[in-house]
Amino acid sequence: MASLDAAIAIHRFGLGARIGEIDNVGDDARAWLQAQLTELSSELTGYNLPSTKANISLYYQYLEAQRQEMAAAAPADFAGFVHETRRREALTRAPGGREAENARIAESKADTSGTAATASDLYQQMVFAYANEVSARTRHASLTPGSFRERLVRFWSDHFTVSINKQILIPTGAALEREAIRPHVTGRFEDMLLAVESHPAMLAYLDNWYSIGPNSYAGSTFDLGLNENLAREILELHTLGVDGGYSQGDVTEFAKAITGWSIGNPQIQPERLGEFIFEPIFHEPGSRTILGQSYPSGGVGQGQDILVNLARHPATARHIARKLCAHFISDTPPEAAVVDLEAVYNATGGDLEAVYTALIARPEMWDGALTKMRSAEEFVIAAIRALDRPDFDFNFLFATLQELGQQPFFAPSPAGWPDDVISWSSPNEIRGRLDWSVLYTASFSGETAPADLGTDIMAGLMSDYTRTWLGNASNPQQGAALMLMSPEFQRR
Amino acid sequence: MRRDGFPHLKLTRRGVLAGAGGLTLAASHYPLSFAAGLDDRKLVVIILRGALDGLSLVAPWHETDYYAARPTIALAPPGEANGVLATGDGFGLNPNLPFLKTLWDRRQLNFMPAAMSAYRDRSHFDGQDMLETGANTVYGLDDGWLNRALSRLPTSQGALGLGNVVPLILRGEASVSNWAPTILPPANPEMISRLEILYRNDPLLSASLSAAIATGQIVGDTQSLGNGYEETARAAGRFLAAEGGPSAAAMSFDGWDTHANQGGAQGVLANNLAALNRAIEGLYDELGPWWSKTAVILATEFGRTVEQNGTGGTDHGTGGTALLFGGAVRGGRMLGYWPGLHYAQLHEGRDVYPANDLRSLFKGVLRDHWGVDRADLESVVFPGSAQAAAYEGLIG
Repeated sequence: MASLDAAIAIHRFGLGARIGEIDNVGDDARAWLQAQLTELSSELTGYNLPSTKANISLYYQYLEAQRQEMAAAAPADFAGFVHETRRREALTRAPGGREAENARIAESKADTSGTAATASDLYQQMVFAYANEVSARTRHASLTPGSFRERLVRFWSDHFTVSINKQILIPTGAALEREAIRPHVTGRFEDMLLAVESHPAMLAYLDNWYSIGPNSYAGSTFDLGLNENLAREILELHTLGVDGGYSQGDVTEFAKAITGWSIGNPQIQPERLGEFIFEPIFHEPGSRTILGQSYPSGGVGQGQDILVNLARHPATARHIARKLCAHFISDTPPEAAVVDLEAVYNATGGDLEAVYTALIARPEMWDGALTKMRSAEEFVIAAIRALDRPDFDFNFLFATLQELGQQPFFAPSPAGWPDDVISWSSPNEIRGRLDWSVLYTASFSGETAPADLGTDIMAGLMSDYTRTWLGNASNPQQGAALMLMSPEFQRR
Repeated sequence: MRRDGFPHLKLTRRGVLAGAGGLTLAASHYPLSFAAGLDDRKLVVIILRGALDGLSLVAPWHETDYYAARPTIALAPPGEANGVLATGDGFGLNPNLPFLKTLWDRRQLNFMPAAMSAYRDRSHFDGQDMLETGANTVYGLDDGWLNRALSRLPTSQGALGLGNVVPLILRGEASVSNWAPTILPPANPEMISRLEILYRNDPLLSASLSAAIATGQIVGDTQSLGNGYEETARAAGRFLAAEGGPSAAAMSFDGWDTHANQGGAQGVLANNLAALNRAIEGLYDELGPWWSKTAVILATEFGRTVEQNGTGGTDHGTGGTALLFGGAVRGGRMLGYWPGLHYAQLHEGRDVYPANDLRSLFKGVLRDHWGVDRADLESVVFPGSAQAAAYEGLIG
């Protein structure tokens, strides 16, 4: 049943259909997905986003300006940018038709040449860096013909969660996804792992940038020491998994091995400001033993060797296989599927494209009964795609995702966002999605009848019952809102 | 609900409750509607996610080892500048918790140091899982102990989770709603009735929609709730005190994972604790006369290292500190025993020894506050917890 397969390829594997997209899939939905892996790229092209290095430089300019303005004690408030009134306006204004507005604002604010930028200006620029980055990835997700690929980017971005809960993360958090995840999404897991764990955003988020070996030069000279946060989360969340067989001793040893993994800043290696640095005077000397294996002293290479071995460890294969299956198949994925992906991971040394190919081949993925709820952000992107409105206003997007409980790069913990049906179907979440859907469809033109739109977007996934009730709507706007809220569209 | 931990991204929502004044649809099977002749006692659980540093909540200022282990973040003894608020026996509340000190003085607050679920490792996520399920092993149960307790009551008004996601502690068989502030204008009643029809064959979504409708009918005015933790706690109080309000509420506050620069009487953790103090005072205000019928449990997944780490913070530990307070509580006591902070007394040479089982506290409250019977506590609510006997005399 070609039409059902096409709909599954787009909804369960991807980010939801754009108008007419299901017809483009063709007869072989599996080949269509495979082609996304081999022929497309995950790069965000055409958005001209600044590098992390530039953004960290901006952060230190901000700190310096703030230091100089000691009188101005309170930093500019993010809420001033998208405070309640602005967000309320953004939500009540008909969305769309304001493309590039944010980029223009960002440019005009950023143009501080000739005058000394105030801390407040610089803080605004950091916020705009975040806004531009979020806008770009959302627009890309709204338009891409390779939405399976983009789902995978987002899967890994969540796996390697960072949050803008520290100021330095505001301009750099989203850049981690662009710089360390997108280039490796169909490559080898160990390459992605090395890129992520040495990215300044991760080093800052999990405190490693100032973790200092007790017997290093800095540790023995000043009263500074170890912070084991990143080491623990690498083992628990990024690689082996919590039941992956490591001990507290392994955590401490690993933390020592990656002391010195830091960020160039005005005091330390200023010539490499904003870049990943290995700082020898922070690094704990000596060999380390992790999971029974000894790693001789060797600077940055010691930590890199450990990461590579962690990436190749069978517990990591198991952890990642299970997480992918839980994300794409069901909250409690069948063991056969997990074992299958795990075996491919082990056999290929963590070749992610091969693992995704195994996922495409799994029969569970092609069952027409949708088992997962869309997360709030997936729901919003699916709505943008279905109604063809990629030209959103950032304030509207930001307020929307905040209301629905999934502000980008602001997950509640290093474990990322919930990925289960119950979390995304709570009463408050359904209430929020309903209120938002009504708002979002208020300007729906009605040129296409809602039942026909539903058929175009969901094809064989939509039940006759839903089709009937979309047809019975009192007006096209209500019908379009009901389509977004339908059980089929809420799921994937 | 994690706003207080994020001062530079302060959000000042004045939530307009969706449906208030607009929704008139009946949700007859939903437990937040009226029920006759039931016990009217309320139970609130506050979970501090990220592992609160228990030694900064209630500090053992009598221990010289406390000061030795924490040269820059220890709290001063009572009577000194920024000193702790003494609770007797050599302990004292963080100076940023004056309202809790008031409760202590009224004998409406107990603290349990060295407190821990059955969990014995240092993952936030696994620790929270066992704290909320009450199980003996990680992922041993997939519903929450508060939900199981609720489902054993002959009658109850149901429960409410604060926040966009129903916390695990409240998930399970008994029907639960959740609420978070919103600025979205509410959908009109006709739209809602259409959606009810569309969900007729979908048990999951129709139950959620019904619960949302019923919750929207309970409380009208949610203005002036404050921000952050306080907004959440005040909302909870207002729901609990409303006519037909729930029997239980659970809320989570994030922002306690203080690996770096946590500070002492001032600083990041101090600010969070001051916000917590405001939240609890807000809950008290909103509950009004209901305070006397309320017990509040405050717990976290584990404690933090006794020694401060190399970056002025503390890493993941074991024994933490829990609180039990409220108008229904018999307070003014330390619960359990204090294992001490000398090196030989520590768990694995680094953490507060987990001397006191949180499940003893939970069981004592459920038995004496809600009347959950002993057999149900042992077999259903906390299976396999025989070694954690219910505390006596926590209530009344």
